[in-house]
Amino acid sequence: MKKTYFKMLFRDIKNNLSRFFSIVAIVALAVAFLVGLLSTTPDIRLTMNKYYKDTNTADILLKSDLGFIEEDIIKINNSVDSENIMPFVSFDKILFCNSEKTTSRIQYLPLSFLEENSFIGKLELIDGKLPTTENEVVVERSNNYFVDVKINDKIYDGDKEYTVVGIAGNPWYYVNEKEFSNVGSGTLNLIMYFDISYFDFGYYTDVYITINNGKSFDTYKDDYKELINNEKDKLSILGKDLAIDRLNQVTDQMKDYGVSQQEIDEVTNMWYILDRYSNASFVSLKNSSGKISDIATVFPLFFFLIAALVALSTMTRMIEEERTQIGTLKSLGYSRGSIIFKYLLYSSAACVVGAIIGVFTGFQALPQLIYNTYATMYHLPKLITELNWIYTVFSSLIMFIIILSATLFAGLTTLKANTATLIIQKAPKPGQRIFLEKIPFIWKRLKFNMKSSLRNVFRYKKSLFMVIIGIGGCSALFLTGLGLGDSLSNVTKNQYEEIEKFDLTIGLNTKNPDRELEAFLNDNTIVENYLVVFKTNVILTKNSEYSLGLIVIEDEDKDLLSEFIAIKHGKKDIILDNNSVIITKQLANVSSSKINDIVEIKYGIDNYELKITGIVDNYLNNYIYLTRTKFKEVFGTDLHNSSYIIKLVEEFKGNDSLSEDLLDYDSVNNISFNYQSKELFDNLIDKLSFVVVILIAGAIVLAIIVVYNLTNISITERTKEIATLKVLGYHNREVSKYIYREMIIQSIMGIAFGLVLGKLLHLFVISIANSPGMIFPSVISIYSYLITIASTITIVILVDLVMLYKIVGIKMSDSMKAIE
Amino acid sequence: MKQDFVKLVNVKKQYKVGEIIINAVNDVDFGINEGEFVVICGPSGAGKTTILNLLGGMDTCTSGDIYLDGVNISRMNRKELTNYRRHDVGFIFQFYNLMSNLTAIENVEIASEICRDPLNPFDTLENLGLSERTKNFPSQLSGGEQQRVAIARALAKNPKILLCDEPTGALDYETGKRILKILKEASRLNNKTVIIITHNQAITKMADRVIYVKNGKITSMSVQENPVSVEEIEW
Repeated sequence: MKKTYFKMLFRDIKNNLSRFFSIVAIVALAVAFLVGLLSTTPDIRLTMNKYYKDTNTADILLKSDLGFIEEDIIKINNSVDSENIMPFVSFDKILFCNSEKTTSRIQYLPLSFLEENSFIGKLELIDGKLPTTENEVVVERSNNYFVDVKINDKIYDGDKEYTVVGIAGNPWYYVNEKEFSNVGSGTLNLIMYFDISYFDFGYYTDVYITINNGKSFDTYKDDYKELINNEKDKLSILGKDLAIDRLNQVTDQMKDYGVSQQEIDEVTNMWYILDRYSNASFVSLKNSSGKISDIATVFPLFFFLIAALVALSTMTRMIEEERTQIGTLKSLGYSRGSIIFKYLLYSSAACVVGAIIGVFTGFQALPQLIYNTYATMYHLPKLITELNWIYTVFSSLIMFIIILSATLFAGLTTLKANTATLIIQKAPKPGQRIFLEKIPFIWKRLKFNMKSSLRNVFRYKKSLFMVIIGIGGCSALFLTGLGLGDSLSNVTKNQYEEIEKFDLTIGLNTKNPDRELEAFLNDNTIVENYLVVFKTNVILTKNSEYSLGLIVIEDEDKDLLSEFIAIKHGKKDIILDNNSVIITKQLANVSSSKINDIVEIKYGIDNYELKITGIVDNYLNNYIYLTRTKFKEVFGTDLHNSSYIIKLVEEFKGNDSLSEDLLDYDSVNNISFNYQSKELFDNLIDKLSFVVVILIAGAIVLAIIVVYNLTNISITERTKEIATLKVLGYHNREVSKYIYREMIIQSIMGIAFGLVLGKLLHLFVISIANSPGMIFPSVISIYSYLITIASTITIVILVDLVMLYKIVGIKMSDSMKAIE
Repeated sequence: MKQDFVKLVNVKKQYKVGEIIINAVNDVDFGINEGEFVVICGPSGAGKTTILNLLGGMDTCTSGDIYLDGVNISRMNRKELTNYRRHDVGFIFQFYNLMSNLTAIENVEIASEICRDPLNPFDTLENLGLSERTKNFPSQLSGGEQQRVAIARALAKNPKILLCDEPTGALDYETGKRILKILKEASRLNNKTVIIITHNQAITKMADRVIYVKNGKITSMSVQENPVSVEEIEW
């Protein structure tokens, strides 16, 4: 390439700086969003993997009803491929803190080994020091549910007094949500840590285990799950024997103490083998961070489309302006290739600059922004942002292709023209009649200002196309964002008002229902009605990530179920009888099953086949509904755990005052209130709402860029027309109305298109965002439609008002210029 | 017939380009009577276009006064000038400046609709021989026809003066002559004051008044008692 050529290129950039920057801006925006959104989930997971590694967090948590003795620990350590093993003691108890009854979890940990590599689940000492006596205690940092305790505060347990000497953060409890307890109010308000070396229990209640090589896996991926499940299976087998041994040991001791045989028979001992997937904090963060990547994939595609439009219109304009110049170059003997090369270079340069800006702002800014919203929900370590070269190259390459294609397209039409035609002034496009003129009924009624505007709208087809796509795309984004907001806000409402009509669940630890408890419920005026159900958890064989609740009711209660849980499909009620196997909608989707298909589930360690007889609506979690007879038929055994689901009288629906009374009953293992679960999900949904807000903000910015660009071009192209109108005596206001009327008409067409597109896009995004435990309803409220329309029109009007200065600035002498 | 229907007194128009001051119109005085057909002639850059712009209310003078029918337009603000252009001035451009997406009659209507006392658009077109072409777009009209539409647009406004900037500049010889004839007739029949800017000296022969401009100054002004008819002019 000749030297003069490059001189021309740089001068071109300098002279067309605003144009250059408009392409830079749109490229930067699109790339920043795509790279940023793509990186967010990986960054969060990267950060958390390191956090779990640094804190040596447990892979497995082993609990049992009667605890473990020293020999058990040794046997456990030998049976799994463990890296470390840390037994400890944990109780939930009601204590007095700040003169209030506080439901607390008390853990006795080997704190003197806190700094060692063998300590599992390292506490971060935020303030103060570790306990040096048996009366000193460290307390978990406060959040919405854990009380705010200061150093030197006192905690009372009966006549014992403990002094708080330190505040710590536990990697097992970083979510700012309710932790459930089987004492007191049913939710924890405090967690405190003692140094176990000052105590002598003789047994342990919990064991933390880390698995060899566990740290080299990504804790969110399936291969980690497989690794842990293998070890869990080993423990399961070991547990069958050791649990019985321990049971015998304890019942023997009870006999020695003279406990009655009847009470001894009631005692059971089970091992509970938990992993991170039972940990509220882990699961909560995994789910909410996963959602972002699901939603994120779709939106940036739109940004790219808009970017293509902007590039196309800008380069077309630029090339059109230089028509005569191009013709001159052609006549001088420059080839078509070398002529268009300049424009390709120009737009590539803009693309490169934009991509660089976009990547370097996007990969940090967006993840950090989204991560910060998590700060209200979780105590999290500092975010690690990693520049992912694949995303970078991918995003930049796509932009490149889009921009260069747009430039080529803009240039090729001009270059095809005959050299001579290029040098002459381009004839203005001939006026045409539009189809509307053929309907004299309407056409005659219009003021000719409107006629002129309508003709123009259809005459400049390229511009019309760009406005419809641009404004349409932006309205679609708007509507999808708002619609997503509607869907999000309706999930918990639908689930906890329409489907789960009961208010609380009591889990028993006995095989059979407790008649005393039932008497209490019958007498209690707060309780409207209750139902005995048998609940247990099973897993979908095909995909172990899908855990399902198996809900079994007594045969004679089968007609009552629908009073507590709505089992229906749309408006149609589904009947439950002794042959029914009713599953929830998402389960059907995931296992690709219809009625009469077989779905295979894993219960314990065995697999069972169920033939589906009905599919019902459901939004949160997944369930299979059976009668007891059917259960025995399929699984060949009877159930162990029974529960009560209880409907409360209207005034008490949001109240947990009942729980203390209920927890007094020995048979009661745990209580959970639906309003608490609802809150849990509402919090998760708030997180997603923030992402929606970011996306809507992006849509607004895009709308502004598109409208600005197209209005700018429109005004510049019609300078002579505008100047002539001024000469004819049109006031500035009237001139702008003349120009803007077209923009408004085109925008209205664009919005109409956008609303349709938005509805489709919304359905699409919902289908991606749906996950094992959560379905989003595909409803978009009428308000969302109205807000979308109003917002888009407002943006158009505002930008046009800003552009007014350009119209005002056109001089009348411009009307008389021959085109140079 | 009003004397000094159009009057310029000590009119100056200066532009500042960086540090240099350009006197586009440098102390110009003249008066034009109502109904006169005036030709302002001069070489490129002489200042005739500037004078036209000042007369047409499209620009304001740096100093001096401009009167039209007794009203001092040089004291008007932007809004008043717009109204002045709206009702009192008819402008005819060298390149016609029609709206390409409006038909001939709509092009006239776009101007007549906003005037206080317009003529019937169809009639003005008919008078110019364009009754058959009212529904055509400019792209479907010849140069001469387009200029006639432009003239109709100007006449329909029923203005006090008609200002023409090289009205025949884009037309061939025969068509150009025909246009000039129309303009002359408009002046005669309707008693309209017509002012034409041109650098074609031959046209001056048909004028009632001829003003020569050079370097921003009036070099001469003369009144011709017996102007020649257009057909007899050759160039």
